[in-house]
Amino acid sequence: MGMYLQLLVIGLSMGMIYAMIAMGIVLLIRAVGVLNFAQGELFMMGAYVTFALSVQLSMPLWAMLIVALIIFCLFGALFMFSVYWPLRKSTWSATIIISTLGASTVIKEIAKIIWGSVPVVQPPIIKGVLELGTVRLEYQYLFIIGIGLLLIVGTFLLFDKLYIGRVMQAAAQDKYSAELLGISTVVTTMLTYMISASLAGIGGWLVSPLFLVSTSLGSFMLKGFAGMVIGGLGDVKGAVLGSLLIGVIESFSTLFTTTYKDAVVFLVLIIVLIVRPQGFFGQKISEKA
Amino acid sequence: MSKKLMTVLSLLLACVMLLAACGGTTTEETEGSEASGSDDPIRIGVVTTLSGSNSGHGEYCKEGAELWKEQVNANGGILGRPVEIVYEDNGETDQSYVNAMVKALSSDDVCAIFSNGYSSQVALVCPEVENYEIPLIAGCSSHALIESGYEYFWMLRLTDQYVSPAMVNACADLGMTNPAILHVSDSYGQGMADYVEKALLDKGMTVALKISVSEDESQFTPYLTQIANSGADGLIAINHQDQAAVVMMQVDALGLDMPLMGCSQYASALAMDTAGEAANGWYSLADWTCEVDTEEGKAFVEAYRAAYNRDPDMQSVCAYDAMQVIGAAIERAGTDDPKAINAEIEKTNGLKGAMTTYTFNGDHSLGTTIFMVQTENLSGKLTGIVNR
Amino acid sequence: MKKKINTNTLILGGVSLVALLVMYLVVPSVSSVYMMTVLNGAIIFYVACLGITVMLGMGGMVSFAAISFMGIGAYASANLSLKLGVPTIVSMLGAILVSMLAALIIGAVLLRLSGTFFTFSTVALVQISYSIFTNWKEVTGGPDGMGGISTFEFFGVKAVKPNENYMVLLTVGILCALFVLRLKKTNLGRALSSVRDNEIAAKIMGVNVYRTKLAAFVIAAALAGLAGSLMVHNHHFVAATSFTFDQSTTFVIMAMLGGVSNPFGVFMGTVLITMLPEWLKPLQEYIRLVYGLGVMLLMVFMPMGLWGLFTGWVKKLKAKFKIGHKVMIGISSTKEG
Repeated sequence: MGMYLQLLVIGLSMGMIYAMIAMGIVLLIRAVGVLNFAQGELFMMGAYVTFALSVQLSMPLWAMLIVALIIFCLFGALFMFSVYWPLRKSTWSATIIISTLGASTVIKEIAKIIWGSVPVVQPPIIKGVLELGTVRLEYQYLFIIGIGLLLIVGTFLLFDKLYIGRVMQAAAQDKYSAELLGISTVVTTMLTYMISASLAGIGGWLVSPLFLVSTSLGSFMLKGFAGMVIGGLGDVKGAVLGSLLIGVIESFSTLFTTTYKDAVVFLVLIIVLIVRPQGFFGQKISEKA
Repeated sequence: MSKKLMTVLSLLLACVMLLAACGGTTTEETEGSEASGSDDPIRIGVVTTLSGSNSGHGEYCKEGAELWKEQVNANGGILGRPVEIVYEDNGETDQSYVNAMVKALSSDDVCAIFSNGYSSQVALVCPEVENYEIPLIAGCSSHALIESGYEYFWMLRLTDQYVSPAMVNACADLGMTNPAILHVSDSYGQGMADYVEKALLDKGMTVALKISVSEDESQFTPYLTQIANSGADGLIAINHQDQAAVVMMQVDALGLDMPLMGCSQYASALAMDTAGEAANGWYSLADWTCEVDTEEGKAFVEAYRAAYNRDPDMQSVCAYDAMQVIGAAIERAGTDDPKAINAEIEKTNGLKGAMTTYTFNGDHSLGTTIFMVQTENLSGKLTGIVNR
Repeated sequence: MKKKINTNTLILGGVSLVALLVMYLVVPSVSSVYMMTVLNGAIIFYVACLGITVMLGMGGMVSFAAISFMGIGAYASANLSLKLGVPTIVSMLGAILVSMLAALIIGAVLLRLSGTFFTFSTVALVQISYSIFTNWKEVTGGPDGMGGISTFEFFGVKAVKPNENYMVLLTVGILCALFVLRLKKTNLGRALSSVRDNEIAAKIMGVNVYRTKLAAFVIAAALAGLAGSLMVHNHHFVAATSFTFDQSTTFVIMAMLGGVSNPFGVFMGTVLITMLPEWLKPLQEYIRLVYGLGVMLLMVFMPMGLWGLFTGWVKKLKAKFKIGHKVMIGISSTKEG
């Protein structure tokens, strides 16, 4: 029994991490209609930046968080102006996809040049283990779930309740009319990129104490993708639920198969797509011709 | 249609001309250095990873080889000729590994090659090595490669097949009767895990659980949870360096209370430094430890620290010793002819290297011993030496 | 007008004859063995990338599946020639057949998805196939891979050295390029372009969109499977580590770099990406950084790749010298929707 509880908690917290990546991608898809293949590297960058601030510059937690958030936002803006902005007029979506693939290599290499190819260690927020009967969990997992929940709720509130969020949504849905209404789509797009980079960065910060800070953190992105697709491409709520599902499936699939674990996760993705080609929460609209 | 085709062909011409020009220059270069006078350096190739995510390994490897070169050249070189090492970067993919090796074989004019590529990569190039008849010493340890019977391929370390029974004996001494095996699913991990399992069964022990994980896995807690609940009384782990560090950290966090045995990577400087305190208590059968107790080993560690201001890794000592094996063979052969060198490598007998003593024992695995190490206070403590 | 074309044809005919001679005779004799090996690797990737020309350049579908079918073809060939000892030509045809069959089944399912969803499902496919290649020991040799596969042998003539392999690979490469060029002119090719430019319009015009896409998917898989077979016979060894997601993104980048809609452009892209680490050797650890930056800049300044750039120049030159007839292969004909 204890084992199942442990697997469930681990699965949920991994799901939260995937959700942070997936939400970032969904926000970008809604705002600019572009798949970002560099989201995993933004995630990895989050781990490195927080490592640099908290270990190399030994900042206290609160200061580190503030500075890190500012850096994430700047990074998001930089990312937008280098990868998306020059290509926004391109009529061919493949060019932007390739450009993000190029960007992912660039970010990875920059990290390698600055911090080296040897993984580094990031201390957890609170070191220690929670013991409940036979269940043993590092506190970091609880932090992941807690902070993850906060961010998810925060993103919902932003887009559903706050004015700025609605403006961003409006701009995302119809650029032309939004411009007519006096909404600057440059600003809203930039804000979206900033939020997206921050979500990924915080995710990277949260997992790094568990899995070390290394360039291989970027590989978390594929699971985030899977979660997002299961949820339905343009839907934040769907992305979160899909990611949690992926995390739990992944955790429990280890009971049956270890070698084919990744295959199981992606097989579930394909099955979901076949049964519901638009994902669980996606609306049935055909792509713009 | 035909016009389009012709445009295509004419452009192909331009492109190919360009390539031909590049190719042409390379050939000329090698032809220029063909004439071998007595002062010409002896050239030895090293194929290692100098770019990409494993470039850390390559740095250690290069440092080890350079150390040997400087020592030899300071003593007047080999056969009165200076030694030169040619490095080829094998990049990140299998294709780039093959390219680098072929370049070393075909156009670097070297008399022998050392490479610390993975078993699967070395397997890719072995047929080429046989074609060129230039001896290749590799730092990998997969037994399957030895069994293929290549004539010009040599393995510096003991193969996994020889190491596994020793590992299982050590596990039995630690009180394991029903251990779990956790291994990486590549050629190295799978091969070694199979040998360990066989050795366990031969010894009348049982395997509680055998878990194979992919190379890029970093979340081991679900597996470790299962191991904790499987009634296993020990853990045998076979992973590469980065993974080894993560496994040690997550085992520590889960508080697995059982004897822990890792493969050689668990005692590597990189894994221990990264895992920190979590590394304490792990046993491992290691090819290399800085606590080495032979004179040659101690001298190497001292010289290495003086030269690079850090501890040597297994990659450095492998490169250093491979160079010694090659150097000794050239000395005995009295020439830098690759075929003669290959014949002399087969006569290697009792060559004392920094890592172990090298002897030809009927197959192409030259090493003879391996260390039994327990990690204490972030350094590997030598607890015994196991013979082949 | 008629006469002009004739002189043009004559000149081009001469040039292409020289090109063929150079490729078959001059290149192997002046290139070093190393160069030949690199070139051979590039041609193998080129054949797989031609599949991307069909999918992306002609059909507008972003697919990462090439590497999966390359793996299927490679293992099919390895098994055929190792376990049954069939001649090379049969093993190559077998590889093509097996990967086409696999593509037919997989494609029938995945192509029900549209746009981005389809792209994702191919990413998932690559992950699944990689797991299977690594773990299905009986068929793929597991992580140890399979070795000792016979070299190219046609009618008793054996290719042993890299420059002999080059002859075989070059011939296959040219044949595949001609096949793809021809494909554009067929009904299928036209239907595919119409689907790419406007799916709804194509449907109204009576094009069976699903079947057209499926046909393209299967053809792309056949090319990838053939590339896998070539790889196996060239390296004499196959292992799962060759078929990763990273490699499949490299394929897409190779195709895009040269100009995805044209076989020759793809050739330039493949050679360039393969040679880049060679030419940038002094940069050592910065190679991949430069590569990434290059890809980003390329997408901004010449999204149609090197071929697009080249045809742009040709167009300008022709306008300048008033060479009458319309541009043969222009960006104009490959507008994307």
